[in-house]
Amino acid sequence: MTKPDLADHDDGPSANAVNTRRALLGTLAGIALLFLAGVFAGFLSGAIEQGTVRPLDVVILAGIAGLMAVVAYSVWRFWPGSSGEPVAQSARKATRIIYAMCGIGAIMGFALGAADDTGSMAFLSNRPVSNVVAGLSIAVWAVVVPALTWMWWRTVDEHETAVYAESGLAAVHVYLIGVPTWWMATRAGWLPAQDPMIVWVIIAVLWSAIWLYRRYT
Amino acid sequence: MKNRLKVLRAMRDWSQADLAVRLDVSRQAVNAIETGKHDPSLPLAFRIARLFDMAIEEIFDDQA
Repeated sequence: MTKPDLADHDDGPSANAVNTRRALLGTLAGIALLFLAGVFAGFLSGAIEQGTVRPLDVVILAGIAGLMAVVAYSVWRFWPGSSGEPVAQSARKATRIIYAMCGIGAIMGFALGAADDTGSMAFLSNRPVSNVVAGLSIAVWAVVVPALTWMWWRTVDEHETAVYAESGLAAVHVYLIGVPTWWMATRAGWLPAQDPMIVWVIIAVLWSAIWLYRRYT
Repeated sequence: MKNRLKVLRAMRDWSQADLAVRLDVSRQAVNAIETGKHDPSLPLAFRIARLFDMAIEEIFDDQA
C-alpha cells in the first residue's frame, strides 16, 4: 500500500531541523573551543616566557583544559540525533574519518598556537617556527591528512564524491581567476600583497561551503 | 532524471534511511536521487533495480 505522505517516515525532527541544530551546536562549540584554546595557548606562552611555571599556572591551565573537555563532552552528549535513524556502514565510517580529520585540525591549530610566543593567530602567522614544529606540522599535513582524505574518498558514496568534486571544481576556478586578479590589483597598488595562507583559507572555506550546501540541500 | 524511488520505498514502508542502509549509501544520497538532483551511476542503478526486483527502466525514466 502506498502511503499518502511519501516523505521520510521518521517520527522525530525533520532532517533539516536536525541539520540546523547540528550546525548551531557545532558552530557554538567550535567558537567556544577556539576561544578556550587561544586562552590556553596564550596563558601557556606567557608562563613559559616568564621562565618558571608556578603551581597556580598549572591549576589555571588544568581548569581551561577541563572546560575544553566539558565542551567537547557536551557536544558528544547532546549532538542532535534523528530518532535512531539507521546509517549505512560506509556512511558511518566516512563520518568517523571526518571527525578524525577535524580532531587533527584542532590539535594542529592548538599546537601551532601554543608554539607561538606572541599569542597571535599562529596558524595564519608568517613568523619563523622551530624545526620541530615545522617538521611535525608538515608530517601531519603532508602524510596523515592525505592518507585520511584518501580513505574518506574511498569510503563515501557516489553522491558525496560528485558534490565534493563539483565544489572542488568551483573552488579551483575561484583560485585560477582570483589569484591573478589579486596579483594584478596588488601591482597597481589597489590591494595588499597576497598571503598564501589567507588565499588557502578562502579556497578551503569556499570549497567546504559549496560541498556542504550541495550535500544537505 | 525522474524516478519512482520514493513510491517504491513507501510501498515497502521504508524511510530514506532504511533504503540508504540497504544500498550502503548515505541518506542524503537517497534524497538527492529521489529529488532528481543526482543521477545514480549504472552500478548503483543496478543495485536499486535488484533491491526492488525490477528493471532499471521501470524505476528510472530518462524521457522525463
